[in-house]
Amino acid sequence: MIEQVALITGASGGIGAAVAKQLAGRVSVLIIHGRNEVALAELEAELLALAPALTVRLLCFEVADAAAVSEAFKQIHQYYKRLDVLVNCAGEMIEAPLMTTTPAQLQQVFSSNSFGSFYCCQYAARLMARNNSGSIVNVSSVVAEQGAAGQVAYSAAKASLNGMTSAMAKEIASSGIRINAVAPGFIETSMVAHYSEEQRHQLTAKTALGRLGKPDDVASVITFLCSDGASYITGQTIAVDGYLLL
Amino acid sequence: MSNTEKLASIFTNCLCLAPEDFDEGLSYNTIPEWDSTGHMALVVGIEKGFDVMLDMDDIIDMSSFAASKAILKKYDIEFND
Repeated sequence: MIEQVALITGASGGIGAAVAKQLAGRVSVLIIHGRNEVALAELEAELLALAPALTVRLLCFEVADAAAVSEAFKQIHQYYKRLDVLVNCAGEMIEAPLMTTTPAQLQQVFSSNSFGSFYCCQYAARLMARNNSGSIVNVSSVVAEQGAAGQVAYSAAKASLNGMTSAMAKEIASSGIRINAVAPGFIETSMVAHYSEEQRHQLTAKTALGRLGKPDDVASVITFLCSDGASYITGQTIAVDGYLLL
Repeated sequence: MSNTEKLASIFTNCLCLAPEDFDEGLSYNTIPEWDSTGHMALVVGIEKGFDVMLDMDDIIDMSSFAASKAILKKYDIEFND
């Protein structure tokens, strides 16, 4: 295995943790980011059980805070001098209809889903460009393209991620860096744990494959996009939704 | 090689300049090679060459060869010439 350093933001969430477990045997250093140190420590123990030779580093910072992101990447530079993989899983879903979405909610949903990924991509691209290689994956959502009633701000923030992914791909391709996005459908994570049985049933009925997704379904695609097998794929947003039509 | 020579070499390489086209009065957007794409290559080259990670404000302010030297001094890179 070559020396590879990967950073996963939002690693304590359902998809983030699944990605961390899938990448554990494929990289030498895994930097897991989150806001909950206890959850990260639990994940660290799981990762080391899966891959005892793995180096795991925990980073707690606010992705929407540009200064905090800068400081975090300086630490990564200080310790490892490189970054090969960035997976932007950090995000937050706020459900509110158009008429009652407050400016604070709009700010919050863009800060966590869009600005945070933007800042991380900025710094990651600089570290990756040093070695003229790297792969970035942004976690978008099916609602970015299709929209969802009651999720106007969230849909808009995720749509911005898709545009960001396309534009960045054009800018950083010459530096040997690929960037893609995945657009999960309805995935069984804590983010949707509050959905009622009736809501789950309705969403399953709208999904061609007739089941809700699992975090591993999304993590498999992300892991592939990070791998050399995807060396000719960049600028894409790939749906991982069982063909969910909202 | 002094740090000034090292920086000049980074400029020449990253902006794909012929050695005779480089001079210490070089500034952003005054030559076709130093456009936004060239600037990104230059930032990466300087960060790698001097093993630093620049602050965003410094990247924006790095608008000339002279400014680059001044900025690198903040990161404890010495220029004695």
